Amino acid sequence: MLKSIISKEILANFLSYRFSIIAVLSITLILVGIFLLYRDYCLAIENYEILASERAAAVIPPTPLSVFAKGLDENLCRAYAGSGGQISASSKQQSVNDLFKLFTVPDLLYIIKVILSLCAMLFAFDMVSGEKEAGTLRQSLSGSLGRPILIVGKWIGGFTSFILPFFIAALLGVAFVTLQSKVAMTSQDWARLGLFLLSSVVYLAVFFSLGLLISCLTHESASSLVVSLFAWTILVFLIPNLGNILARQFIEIPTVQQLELRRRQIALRAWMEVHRLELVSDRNARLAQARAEQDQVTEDYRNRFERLVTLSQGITRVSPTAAFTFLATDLMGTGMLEEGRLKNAVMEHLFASGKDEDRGRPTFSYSRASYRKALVQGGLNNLLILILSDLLFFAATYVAFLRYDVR
Amino acid sequence: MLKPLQAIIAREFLNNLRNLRFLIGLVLCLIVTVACIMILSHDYQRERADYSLRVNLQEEFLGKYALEGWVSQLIPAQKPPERFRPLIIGIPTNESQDSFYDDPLPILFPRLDFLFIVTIVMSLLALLFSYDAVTGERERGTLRQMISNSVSRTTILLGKFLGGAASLLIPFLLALLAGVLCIQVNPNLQWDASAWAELGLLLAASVTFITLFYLLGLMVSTWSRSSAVSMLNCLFLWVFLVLVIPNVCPYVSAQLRRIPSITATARRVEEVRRACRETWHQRRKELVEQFRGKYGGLFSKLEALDFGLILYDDRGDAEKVQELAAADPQFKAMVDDFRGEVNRLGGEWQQASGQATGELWADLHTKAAAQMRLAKNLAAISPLADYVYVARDLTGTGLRSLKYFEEFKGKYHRRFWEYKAKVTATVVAAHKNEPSPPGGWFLDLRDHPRFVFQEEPWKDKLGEVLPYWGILGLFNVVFFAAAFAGFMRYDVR
Amino acid sequence: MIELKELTKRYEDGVLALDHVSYTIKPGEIFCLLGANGAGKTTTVNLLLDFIQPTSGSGFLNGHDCNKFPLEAKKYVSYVSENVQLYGMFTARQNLRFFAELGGKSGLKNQELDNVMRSVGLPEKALTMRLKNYSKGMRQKLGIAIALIKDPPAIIMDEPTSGLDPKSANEFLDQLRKLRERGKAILMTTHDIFRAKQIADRVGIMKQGRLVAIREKADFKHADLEQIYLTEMEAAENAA
Repeated sequence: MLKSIISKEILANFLSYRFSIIAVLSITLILVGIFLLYRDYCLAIENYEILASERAAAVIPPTPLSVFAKGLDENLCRAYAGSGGQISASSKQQSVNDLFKLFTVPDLLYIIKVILSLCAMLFAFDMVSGEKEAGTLRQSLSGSLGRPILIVGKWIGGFTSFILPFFIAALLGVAFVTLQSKVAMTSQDWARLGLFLLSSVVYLAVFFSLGLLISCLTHESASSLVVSLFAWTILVFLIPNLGNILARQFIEIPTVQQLELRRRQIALRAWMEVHRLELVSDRNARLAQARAEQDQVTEDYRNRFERLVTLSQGITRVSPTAAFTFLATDLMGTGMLEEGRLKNAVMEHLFASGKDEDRGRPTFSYSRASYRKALVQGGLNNLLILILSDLLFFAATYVAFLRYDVR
Repeated sequence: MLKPLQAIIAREFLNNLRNLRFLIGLVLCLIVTVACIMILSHDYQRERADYSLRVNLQEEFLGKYALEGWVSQLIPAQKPPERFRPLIIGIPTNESQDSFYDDPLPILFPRLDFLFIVTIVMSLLALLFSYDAVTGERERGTLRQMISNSVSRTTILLGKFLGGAASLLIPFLLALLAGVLCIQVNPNLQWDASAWAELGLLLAASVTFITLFYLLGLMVSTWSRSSAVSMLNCLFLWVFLVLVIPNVCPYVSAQLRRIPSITATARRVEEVRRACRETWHQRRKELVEQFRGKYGGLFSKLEALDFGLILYDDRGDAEKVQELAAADPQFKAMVDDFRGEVNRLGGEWQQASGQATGELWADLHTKAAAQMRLAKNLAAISPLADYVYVARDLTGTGLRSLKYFEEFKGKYHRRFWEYKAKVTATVVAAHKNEPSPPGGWFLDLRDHPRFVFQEEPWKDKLGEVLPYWGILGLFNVVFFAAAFAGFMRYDVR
Repeated sequence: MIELKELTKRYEDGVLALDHVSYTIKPGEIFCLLGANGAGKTTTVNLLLDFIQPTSGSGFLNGHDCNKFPLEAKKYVSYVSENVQLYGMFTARQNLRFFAELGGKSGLKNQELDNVMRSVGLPEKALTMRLKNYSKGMRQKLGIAIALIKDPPAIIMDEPTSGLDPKSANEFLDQLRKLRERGKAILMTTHDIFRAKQIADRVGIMKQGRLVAIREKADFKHADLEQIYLTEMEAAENAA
């Protein structure tokens, strides 16, 4: 009987207008997004080759996985150079076109977390309330079909038909990228990509379950729609973004401008005073004092920033979208985890080697965190949050449907 | 016609007010707007404090460390937080984005502000209110009931639009009112008349945007047979117009109008500069040879003193050279001649290098500007992009304000340099016969012109945003016309 | 007065829904249109109310062409649909006031509205009740109230007794009789031969878009209307 219900759901969905629209939308957006980000990646590779050939700066190549989840990759792939205690970062290619600052990057991560999550809810919001309105729910339950089997069958059939276009598009997109000569994926990259796609499925299942739950809590599909859109807006936009702003209310950090200004002034003051000193040893001591002051200011800033990131993650994780964003970007090596590791590595390379100028230093060598490390350092927790949300929503759906008034 | 129109408007209005969507919309708008504005107001105060601190730091530093050679690194011109910051978060400058210590969290999670409320929440709400405006009535049978009376379809459509849009604007206006009250009760946030004028214009632009989406829903409803299909079509269009087109356009423009990479340009600039420097060094060597030949032993004395800081910045006995010049007029004439030639060569080198590198950067910036223009125009297909341009530029939180700030800063820099040149001339004249110390003479710049940023007049901003506002208006007209066409042939059975 | 002159409707898919139908309904007359599903009864209603355009021929309401001057014509007619849904979140009074205003009667007092609703048999507590809590019978009565408040010379009803229990159906017919006494020309489409016999002054029998027969009250008052209906249908079948 379960098999019949699942087949019916799949067939009914395939024949529905809703499926056509969502399939067209998913496939078009995913392929266009991947294509555009691939071209962007090619440009990033060109830039990297120029920077790497100079050997003077600390720079890492862009990851091919940035085609799927760009995250902070543009930031990570800047060239860092240091002298006189100052670290400078090269300008990002996108900084010349201010329009990039106005809008969000349309990568696969964005398409999944914003657009496909909406599609998942649209798929499921009237699976029960709509059938009640049409009278077919009564018809189905008028026989010897148990409610548990019906709701499980609906979930499996519905989600299977929903996720199919996503799989097709993702596979086509991955095939396109990996067939390009400029892209070289390692086994680590494949593992990361696999985990990313798996966590995407779990993420979308959360919203599908939520849509189904809402359908079991309402009796008209119009009401289900309103509540679903309300829930989607809160989970996808409000909580992640408001949560970040809220975290900043609890942890005060100075602006970057203030930090840079203080650092610059410490350096200038030191240089000016140094010229009045006769002895070389006095001059060195004064410069060392200035360096120490700068390091203190910077360390204070970075400590506060790390606390901000931790608090921000803690608050926003309530939303599956935030948990998924952190998980996906960390897995793909374009997230906050990588950002922190890279900056620490850069500082160590530029100053701990004892050389003050770029010329005397060894070549900067760095590899992105493995997927295991990404999972261990918070990734698993985020994945667990997604799985738990899924289970919670499904359990609530199950209970709600058992008590649902089908008349 | 007026009485039936009034009746339809009133009915549409009241019907929406009693609907679950109205309640949800109202709650969402109020909570989000008030929470957002309270938090952003707090943020604004902190940024204001940060700004004051930076200004004070600079003033203090300028008072103690204004050496002639270092002043260029000390010029005060801090950007204050935008006065509309409690409503709309401004765009970060390149300065803060290109820092090693930048904060990348906003890249992963764009921040919430008034623009989000209008572009995402209100546009969705507008579609929710209107997607079944016609299909719902047809399904209920009330459309037939209405048309069976002596009421034209035009009246019905107009009544639906006016009544529906009015009910939709209530949550928005209430939320905005609550937000503005939060701003007003804050003693640190005081707006002048021009700020209020800008707020009024922002409100008008927001209403244009919201009614656009209401009309979109109405249009789709008149071209659909069932509410379910209408809703799907509405959301499909919403996703494209709001979530896809604006975000995709910068990337499409980057492909269509390629620009040189900044890295490649910087490398070429460095190469050009190196080449110019080598040429300059070569010409200095030739100059030394020339003077050696011309002045013979007299020039050897200058060479023995490492050219007395004339040729090199970091070595040379300038004091001894001055002593000799004071004692021997011939020596002095030669030194002055040599110094003049060295400075001339230096000037030529700087000019040549500056011109060549300037051309490279100018080429990059011209192409970048063309790419940006293309991106902006492509994105203008999306009402969201048009609204963002209008709202940001009107309130001084957009691209125009960044450009305006740079121009304002540029003008201030010129005034500052003129002032500094006068003070330097005075100090140099006072220390005429003394060699300048490392870093240059200390300058008393206490009464330097202060940098006081003034917002661009709203009338100038309005001129800039009118084309995009016009596009929003045009969308309204097109959607209404399409709804009208659809409704005239709509099968009400 | 309701008049049809050679009214014809052929749909885009080629189906001839109405085939040169002509008849006139006088003031103070109830004309019942009988026929199977797809016979053309609802098409007739849709044409008269300008929901669709005729292929040829004309319909007239009080002498005004329904399709050439629809707004003018519809001033003289009220419509009661098969399933009177109206606006569920509004009370009966609010719904009635709205449709009265559409029908050109604005500024009516609550008392006037309530009187009309009482006159169609709605109980007191129903007057301020929301429509979503109304039964089908109550909704049909409110449909008549809407027709009454406009006070037009003609009333068109599309299967108004469908789904009503016997008591509600009888009450509904009583209302129709009152309307007839007030001189209204009433066109009522129905499947319900029993009710048609009780209330109609004339019946028209339709089959596949054609009006195959019109019978006066004298013909069926003491006869079996169902048998007459079946006979006419068979005759039409044989003639085709």
